[in-house]
Amino acid sequence: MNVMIKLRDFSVRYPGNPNPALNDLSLGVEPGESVLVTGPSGSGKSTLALCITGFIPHAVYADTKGNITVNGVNPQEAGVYELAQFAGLVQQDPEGQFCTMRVRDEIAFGPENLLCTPEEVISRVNWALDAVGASHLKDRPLTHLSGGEKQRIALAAVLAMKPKLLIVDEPTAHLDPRATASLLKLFQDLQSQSDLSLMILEHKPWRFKDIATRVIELKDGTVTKNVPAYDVFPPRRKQPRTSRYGDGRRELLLNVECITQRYDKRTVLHDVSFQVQSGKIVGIMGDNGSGKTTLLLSVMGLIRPERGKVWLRNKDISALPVSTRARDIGMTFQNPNHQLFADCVWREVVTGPLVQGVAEDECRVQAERLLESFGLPEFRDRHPLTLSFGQKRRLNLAAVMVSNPSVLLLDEPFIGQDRASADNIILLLEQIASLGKGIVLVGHDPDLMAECCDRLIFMEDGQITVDAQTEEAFRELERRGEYDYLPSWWGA
Amino acid sequence: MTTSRVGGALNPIAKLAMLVCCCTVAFHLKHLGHAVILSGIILLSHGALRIPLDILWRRLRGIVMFALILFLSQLLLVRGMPWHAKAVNGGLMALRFLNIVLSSHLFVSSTSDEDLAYSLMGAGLPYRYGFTLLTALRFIPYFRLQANTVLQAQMARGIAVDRPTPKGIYYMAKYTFVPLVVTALSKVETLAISMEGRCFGLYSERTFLRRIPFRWLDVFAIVTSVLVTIFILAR
Repeated sequence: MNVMIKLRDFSVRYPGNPNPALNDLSLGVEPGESVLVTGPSGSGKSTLALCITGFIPHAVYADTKGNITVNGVNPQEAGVYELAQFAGLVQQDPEGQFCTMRVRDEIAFGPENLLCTPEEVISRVNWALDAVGASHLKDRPLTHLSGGEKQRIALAAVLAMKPKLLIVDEPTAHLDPRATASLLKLFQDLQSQSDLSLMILEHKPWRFKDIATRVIELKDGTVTKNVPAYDVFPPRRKQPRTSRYGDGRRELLLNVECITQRYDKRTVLHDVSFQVQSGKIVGIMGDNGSGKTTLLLSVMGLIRPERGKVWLRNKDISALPVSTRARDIGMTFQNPNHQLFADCVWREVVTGPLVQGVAEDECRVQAERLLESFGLPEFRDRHPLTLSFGQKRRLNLAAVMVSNPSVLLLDEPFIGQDRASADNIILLLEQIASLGKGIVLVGHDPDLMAECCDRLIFMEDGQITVDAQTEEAFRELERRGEYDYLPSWWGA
Repeated sequence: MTTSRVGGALNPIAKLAMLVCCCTVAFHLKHLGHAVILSGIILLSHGALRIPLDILWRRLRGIVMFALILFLSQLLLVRGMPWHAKAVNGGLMALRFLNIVLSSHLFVSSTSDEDLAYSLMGAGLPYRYGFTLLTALRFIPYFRLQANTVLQAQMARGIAVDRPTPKGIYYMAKYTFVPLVVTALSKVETLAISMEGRCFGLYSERTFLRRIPFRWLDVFAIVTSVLVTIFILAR
């Protein structure tokens, strides 16, 4: 036998969708192999994972055709439970996977369901925590963990089932570069210690170049590439933006002065000051919890800083309510679904003006113009929630642009975006900046930040420790030994 | 394994039984003096569990105000009774309400949600129902956080939640519901896959690493509470 996963002419079609999610797929994965499955959003990666683990067709209904075996078992015939005893799936959102309150209970959950003896459960909990380097977290409540720690615990909870095959869906989507590097090392260690087969589903394959032995690329449900990893990771040689450096005098739009913010007794922002000029894109990077989002919320006025001032075009707006600031400052949040309120796309764009009593005809004209600019005119009458993740993100941007703000604050706009969508967003941001707007952008991906930012701010423990033009900022980060925050092409 | 036993050594089931007894007695008491004694006992129990009075006041001041309104409405609105009788009736009604809320507060403050769920499962509640309770409790703070983010997103779009008007409140409710339901549904799917993917429901029984001990002290507490309640009801 000696094959962990084998698919031959395998197709999947969801009800009501004319196009197959997987189309005549044929591939194999050997035991102990580490396979990276990549491809744009909607290419069929998650569907493949659900088929391998038996959730399709047993929990999620879809028509299937062709042959599939996992460790010699046909998932179409075997139930989810049989598959779960040797194939584990770690989903993208670690928080949503937890069903208990404490780390130890969460990791014990699987072995307890398998009716292992208490001694065996304890042994598996200790082993899994040790394997992910999180033994020190054993007694912690899950709500007290950082993003990186949650990802490790979600992984440990599946490892405690002692799977032969581990499927991990976008494991680094919410992690900062330091936590990402640590997780990659963890995967390497796991593989060196066992004959675990690893399947990683990821938008950004270059991050996994040291782990993957093979890369499978999917597009529209078919395999477009199935090659050894060393064939697909040429060094990326993009240069940071330099075109707008030193290009004359620019208007000072946003001036943030000495902002200090405390939660309970913990100082989360400490005397933070920075400026944004018209036409510039300023990137903010730093570890999870370093204060990046808090800084954006303080500038927007959604939380009131303990100390400090915010000036917009030389006018002190520190005391203004958010609804007034929102006329000049636009903000988008991490999850696009949190910002979709209306029942159709064009109304979504003009929700603000409609609520403020602007006539519907006038709003409609405004919406059409913005939908055209953001490449969404054909979706004008669709429900916003039926759009793809990338389209929702563009809709969020169109909706904040409706008040023609001078400054845009964007919290992690690249999360969950494939390369094409990320390029699309970068293009949009460049167009917006070229209109003389200032953009402040929080992000984790050094490659994308290098491509779109004119200036980079690096935050540590609520303080700005680097604030310089992009290339200079990366040089400074390299000097400080922050190698995880350097773009993949740096030094190539 | 050790468990987090907030506030004393009693099993949550024993505390639940005591709460039921306390509420039954609070409903039954007909004398103001007895109701005052019950209030005193409940307040002393708060003290014994080291729940600071200022925290208690902060959490329950709205409830105390409501009890005061009950008292005053009895005093001022009821006709055809002497003032003394109206004051006693009003006081009894307000104290009955306060005693039930205070004893419930004592239970909630001294019992962790997870201990309650695990002890109910230990007492024979099918584990599927026990985990339904546990996962629901787990998501309360999560959805509170999500609701806050949605409100912030509305404010950032110029929907004036910071200066509420009747129209603003209507839009806030309307525009909060949809994003929250969407988030909840996506979480349900993720959680279901996560739990079934770890064989939840494979067997009718499961191992429990976490056991909340049920001691003789718990038996004593339950029996004593039930006997005292029967004695008071029988009088």
